[in-house]
Parts: sequence; structure tokens; C-alpha cells
Amino acid sequence: MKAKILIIEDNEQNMYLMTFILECKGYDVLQARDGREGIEAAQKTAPDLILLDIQIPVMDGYAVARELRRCAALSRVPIVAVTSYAMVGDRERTIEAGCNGYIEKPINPDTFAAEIIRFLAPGDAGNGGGTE
Amino acid sequence: MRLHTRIVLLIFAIVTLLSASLSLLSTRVVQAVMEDGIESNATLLSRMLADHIADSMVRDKPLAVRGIIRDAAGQMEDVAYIYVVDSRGGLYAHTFEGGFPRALAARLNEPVQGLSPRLTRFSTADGPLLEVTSPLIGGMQARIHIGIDQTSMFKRIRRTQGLILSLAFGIAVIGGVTGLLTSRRFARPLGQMAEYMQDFGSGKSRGEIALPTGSRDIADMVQAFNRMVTGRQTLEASMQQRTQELAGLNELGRRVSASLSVKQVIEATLEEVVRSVSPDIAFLFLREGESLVLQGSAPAGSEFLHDETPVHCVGECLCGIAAGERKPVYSGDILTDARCTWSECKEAGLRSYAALPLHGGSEVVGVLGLGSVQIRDFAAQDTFLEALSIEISIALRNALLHEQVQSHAAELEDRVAKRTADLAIAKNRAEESDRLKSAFLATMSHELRTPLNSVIGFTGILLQGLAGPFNEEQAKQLGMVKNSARHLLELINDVLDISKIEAGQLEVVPEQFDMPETVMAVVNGVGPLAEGKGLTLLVDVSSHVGAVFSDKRRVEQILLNLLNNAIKFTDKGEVRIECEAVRGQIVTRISDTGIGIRPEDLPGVFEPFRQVDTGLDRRHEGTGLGLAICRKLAGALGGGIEVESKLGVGSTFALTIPERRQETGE
Repeated sequence: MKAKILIIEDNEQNMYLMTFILECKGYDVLQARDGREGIEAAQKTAPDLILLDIQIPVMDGYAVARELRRCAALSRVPIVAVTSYAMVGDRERTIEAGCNGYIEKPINPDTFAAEIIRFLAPGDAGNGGGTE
Repeated sequence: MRLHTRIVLLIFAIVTLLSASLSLLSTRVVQAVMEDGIESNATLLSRMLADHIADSMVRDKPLAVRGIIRDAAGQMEDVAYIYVVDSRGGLYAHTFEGGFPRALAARLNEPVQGLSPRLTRFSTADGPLLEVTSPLIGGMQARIHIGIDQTSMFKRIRRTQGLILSLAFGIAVIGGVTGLLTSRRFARPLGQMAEYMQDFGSGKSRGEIALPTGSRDIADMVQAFNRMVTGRQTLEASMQQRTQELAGLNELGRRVSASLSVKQVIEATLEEVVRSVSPDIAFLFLREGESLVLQGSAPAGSEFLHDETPVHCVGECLCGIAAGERKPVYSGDILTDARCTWSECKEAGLRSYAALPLHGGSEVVGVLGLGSVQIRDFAAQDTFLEALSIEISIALRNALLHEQVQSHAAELEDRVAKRTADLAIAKNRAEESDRLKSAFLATMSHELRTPLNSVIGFTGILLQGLAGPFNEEQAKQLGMVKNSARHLLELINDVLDISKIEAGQLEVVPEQFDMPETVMAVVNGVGPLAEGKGLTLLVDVSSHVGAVFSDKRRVEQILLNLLNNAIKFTDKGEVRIECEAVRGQIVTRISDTGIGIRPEDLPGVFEPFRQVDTGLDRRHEGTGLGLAICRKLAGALGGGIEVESKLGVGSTFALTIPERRQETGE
């Protein structure tokens, strides 16, 4: 069964880029354009992993992460922050908000898929994941 | 007892004593002389009678004998009796009218002793009796006794003695009177003088002693005494003045040294000057350039004040002259003194004036003026007045300096306050601009990364062939786009890093980690790069190096940067990493056999944007911020980076970090 990855990201190009790489690697990708939509999508689809941009409309990534963590069904889903925030304390704030990991933008297309796989449970790997 | 009484008594006693002893002596002499006369008369008489009767005795004519002795007894007034004893001791003749007394009969048989007449004294009921016994020729017991009554003689003696004593008494009286008179003449003025001296000594001095008439000696003495009194009074007056002056100086010194403001010093000065010098007016001027400005006068409310011109010029009038010449000016009478040009003083009735410059050995700070309505010789007090002016000038100078210092201090305080305020504003501005810069950088960083995300991402996808095949030329071009994008990203990251460090926002997150492991991880990371250039990577980690408590991410960042640099600037040979523990410090050396750095460039290698110009084309890509960031990071970790290099031979960068980073307690 393909792992389901939910991407919450408002930038079209980034959304396209991440979706393209992950789909190429054989993952099932779900998309959300803002925080509210992302939470609803997560509750509805119960993804295996959530990639969360921090600077998104309606409600920011920190709030989204906290909201997701409050939902019992989603409390154990790995959330990885993908952000271009690079100031002091950014990494710590995302972890505090409930994220499991942190990938700095711009993403490296050569290593992006490999970094994602680390956060997925062993059985959730996509068809190409971990075999390269 | 008064002196003259004593003198009188003394003289009297001496005279009395003298006359008494003289009279005593003379009565004795008189008695002795008279007694001697009687004795010799009696002796002579006895011899004459003995001769007269000798013949009659031989012829044994007792009547003749009796007749002779009766005649003799009758002629001699004091002869009481005469009797003659024959050689057998029998009574031969006598002159006793009523018969021979029995009392004498016992003596008839007394033996005759010697041939000279013998004197015997009796005391009888009729008075003292002198008996002369002379032996008669014919020997044996024959003799003649003549009794002489001494009563009348003693009467005469007593009379004479009485006369002498009267005389002595007279002399004593005369002596006493003379003494009394003498004492009147000498002792009384002496007593008066003594009394006066006593009064004088105890301070109840009176005028001079009246000159006594008569004795010149006493008069001379009184005159001399009066001179002495006058001299002493003059001396006392001058001493009293000197004491008053010294007290004034002392009080002035005490008061002015206790006051620090110019106003207080002026007030104290004027009060004390008036007290100790007693002028009718005292002025105090302070010098301001070429003017003397009146600061005050005393006594308060003095009538001379009203029309005063408060400003004088240096060199004008007495005060101005004193200031100009730095010498006191004394004027006995300003009405006739051409130097005094200030008519107000004359109109006010001042006569004598003293102007004392206040300079205390250096520049004149002011003038003290003293005026008197009576003619007065201020110059006589010059020593005191000049001492006074020195005291005043020192106090004034101190007070003026103190005020200057205070005004300077106040000015300084104002300046400091203003500067502090300016600095606070500048600091606020700097902080504000720092904040804006940080915010700007964060935004810039974010905004630059977003498009870069696409550039790097899609180039990567294309290069991976995920989007389909492409030819070699296209691959080369896409590689260039990817490299440029990576470089741009490095630049953005480095600029962000260095601005964070400079803004003090660098966070150090210390943790326990294994140093050899970290070194190996970094070496492994750059392995392919070194391999690609055909360089040998040598690693030598001492067995003493183990766990380290520091910021692992930052240590990795530094090592990676240094290693990348070493590989970047080395074309052949080796890059060596040595790691050892030295006294609680971990020293990691990264040496290469690269191009090296010129000595003159060495000091600048850690400055931002100072990638050393090799003289060749700029073929070594880099931001020029790497080493600057490394050094700042090493500093933040409590360590540092040193460099040694030789051009054309190679460079060695040594990173030192403490084994356990001290918590700074932030």
C-alpha cells in the first residue's frame, strides 16, 4: 500500500516540486493550500506523513501543528516542517509546536526523498523509497 | 604698720636705747669718781692726822690729840667721827660726843694689818659709813680711825644721775620728734608711691602722683616713677591693640576658612575688619578686568554708602592705585591728597584712608578700603593691615576658585547628562536599526529562498532525469545553473549567519557528543570532493580525545568550512586533520599542501569578504564569509582559530574549543 503524504503549502511552485518528487518516488500525495484546509484534509484522510509549510494563509504552521496534535487520531502522525524561516529559534519553535522534524527550504531535490523516508514507519515506504 | 610709723618708732627706740645706756654709764662713772675722791680725801686726811698726832702721842698728851682730831672733825663736814687707839689697843682719844659707842669697843683689839691706810664700809642706822684706818708711828696696835658719813655724797650722786637721766630723756624726745619729722618728709611720699604702685599693679591705676615740695630726691623719684607709669601705659595700650589685632586676624581666619562662597567671605571679611580695625567705613572691591566692582561695605547702613559709585578703574583714585601698583596706599588726609580723585569720599566727610590691594603674592583679586572721619594714621598699623589683607586675599582666591570649580563641575555634569541623553538616543536608534536589519534580513532570506527553492528544485529534478532525457550540452548547462543557485544559497546563508552573529543572536546549544565521531563524519562528508581532486585525506585523532560538551552543529560547521577551504585551495598533495586534547582544550589542526597565504595577507583572512586574491583569476568560488563566520563561531563556543601559512607550501588552521563549554548563565 502506498504511503499517503499530505503537503500543506500555499506556494504553487513548491507544491508542484514536492508533489512531483514524491510521486516520482511512488508516494500518494494529498495537497492543502492553507492551514484550515490542511487540518480538514488530515482529519478526513489520516495521512502517514504531513509536510507542513509554516508561512501559510488563514492560520500559520505552528497553529496547524498544535491543532493536529490535539486531535487524538492524528497525534502520532509524523509532521515535518518545511520552511524557509532561518532565524534564531525557528527550529525550536516548530519542534515545540509538535513537529517531528524540520527541513529547510530550499529543498535539495537529490536528498529530499531520503530525508522524508526517515520519518515514515518502515512499512509506509513508497515503491522507490529506501531502495536507491 | 605703715612705713613712716615704723621709721618713727625705730628712730625713737634707737635714740632711747642710746641715751639710756649713756646715762647708765655716766651715773656709774660719776659714782665711781666721787667715791674715789672721798676715799682719797679720807686717806689723805688720815695720814695728815696720823702725822699731827704722832708727836703728841709720843709725848703722851691725850688732850692735845683729842683737840687735833676734834678740830679736824669740826672742819671736815662729812667726818662722823675720829678715834685713836694706842699701841696696846686701848682707846686713846675720840670725837664721839656722847661717849665711845659699844659697838666699836669690840674692834679696839683688832690687829693692825700693814702700814697703809685701810678702808672699810659700814652701814649704820645713820646711813652708809666709810672708815679709814691708818697705823700710827710707834707701832703695835696704835692707829687712827676716821669715819666718814657718805649720805650727803650719795645724795649728790643721785642728784647728778637724775640730771643725766633727764638729759637722756630729753635727747630721746628730740630724737623721736626728729624721726617723726623725717618720716613725714620721706616716708609719706614713699608710702603714697607704694599705695599707688599697688593700685597700679592691681589695675586701679590713677593719674600721676603729685610732685611733693621739698626734697629733690623724692621729687626725682616721683618723676621717674611717673615716667615709668606713662611708659607702661603706652606699652599696655600697644599690647592691647596688638592683642586685638591678633584676635581679629584669628577670628577672620577662622570665619573665612569656614566659608566657601565668595559672598560669605566678603561678609565675614567686612565684619571682622570693622571689629578689629574700627574704621568708620570699610569697602571691599573685587577686580573684574580693569574695573574694581564694589561688593559690599560695613558697618551696615553706613551713611557713606549712599552716593557711592560702585565701579572704579584700576589706576584711578587711592583704591585703583593700590590695585595697579599692588602696594598699600595710605592717605593721612584725603582733602589735601591729590591722588584721591573720588569726590564722594571727600563729600562724605572722610579724612584718612587706607587702600589695601588683595593679592596674596599673585594677581590682585580686589581692594580693601578703610576710611576714617577723624585724622588717623592707618600706616602705623601697616604690618597688621597687610597681614589682614593677605589673609583676606587667600580666602577670596580660594572662594573664587571654588566657585569656578563648581561652575566647571556643573557644566561638566550638564555635558555628561546631554552626552548620556544623546548616547541613549543613539543607542535606541542603533537598537532600532539593528532590529530593522534583522527583520529585513529574515524577510530577505525568506523571500530569496522561495524562488531559489524552485530554481534548485527543478534543476535537480531535470538533472535526475525525472522529467525525461536531455543531451550532454543541456546537462552541462543545467549543472551550471545548479552550481550558481547553490552558491547563491550559500551566500544567503552566510550573510544570514554573520548578521545573526553580529547582532548577538547566535544561539549556542551545547550538548554532549563524541568528538572523534564528529571529525570522522565531517571527513567522510568531504571525502568525495578530495578524492575528485586526487588529494590524500589523513586523519589523526588522539586517543585522549573523547566526549565533548559543546554545540555539535557549530563544531561541524566550522570543521566542514575549514576542510572545504583546504581542499579548495590545494591542487596536489594532502590535507591532514589532527585532533588532540591539551589542558582541557580540544585542538583540531587542518593542514594542507596548497597555495598558502602571503604573510601580508595573513592578518586579514578572518575578515568578512576578504578572500585572498591569489593573483590568478578568481577561480576559487566562495562567499568570502566562511573564515569570518568560523572565527566568530569558535569565539562563541569559548575558543578560537589561529592560522599559520607559507606561500606555496601550505596552510594550517587550528581550531581550539574547550572540552566543556562554560555555561555563561545567560
